[in-house]
Amino acid sequence: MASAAHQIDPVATTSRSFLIPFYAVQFFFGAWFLYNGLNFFVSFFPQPSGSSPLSHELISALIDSKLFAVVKLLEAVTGLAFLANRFVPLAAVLAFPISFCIAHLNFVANGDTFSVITSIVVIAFNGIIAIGHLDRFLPMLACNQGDPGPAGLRAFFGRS
Amino acid sequence: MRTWVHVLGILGGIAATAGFEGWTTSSHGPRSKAHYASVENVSMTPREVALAYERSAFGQHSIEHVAADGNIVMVHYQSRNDRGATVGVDIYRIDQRKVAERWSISQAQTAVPSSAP
Repeated sequence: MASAAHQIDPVATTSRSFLIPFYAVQFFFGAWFLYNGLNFFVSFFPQPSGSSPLSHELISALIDSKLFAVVKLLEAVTGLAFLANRFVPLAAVLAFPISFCIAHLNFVANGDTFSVITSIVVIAFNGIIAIGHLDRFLPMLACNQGDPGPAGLRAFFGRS
Repeated sequence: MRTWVHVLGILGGIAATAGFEGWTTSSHGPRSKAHYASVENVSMTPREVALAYERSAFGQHSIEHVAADGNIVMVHYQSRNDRGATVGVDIYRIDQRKVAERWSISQAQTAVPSSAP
């Protein structure tokens, strides 16, 4: 008969096996976003100008209109949040429009094998991070949300 | 999360990204310099082709305005040499990302009277 000291806690085991892949994705995705976001400003490697004529035109227009700098700043900030493990649910939401644009551009405009894999991976990784914090988003998914009220403001400013 | 696990996670994420980006942007990777150069080569607009030609052939030109209408590009420039200043317009017809035709109109720059007679 096994003693109580040698019994494995099923909750703790599940928790660890659940955490490791989620954190692995979060730290890789965070470093990836931070690296590519900062690359626009400090140039670790030559800034990609698009992997197809269509994406080249779009990225050139984004750079000329200065919108690309905003995107890259947001990319770096969300990447930093993932790495710092702070504001992760908010960063997952902020990163999603960027992830969607990266995926769409890779899938539709580029279309080569590497681009298709990249588009799947970026959406999957952003989704995995969000699913890891799904409990934070569940209130947003209410179908009947009720009337607006001051409860959120009170909670935000720490007043009951 | 314990601090050392967090630090290990950050280092692992950075190392994995550096390795991945290092491979993709290397000469053997799918996003090499040669790849981006080939994309840029086939992506140049008529305006970019005309400006690239203008800058490489007439580096002394100071480009004032550029206007493009389809494959026709007009470049308004100023130039200065020992004989004085020149203003002109080069008109390009671009075909298959190459300069197919070029017309040039130029004249010596003249001083504008300070007041009308």
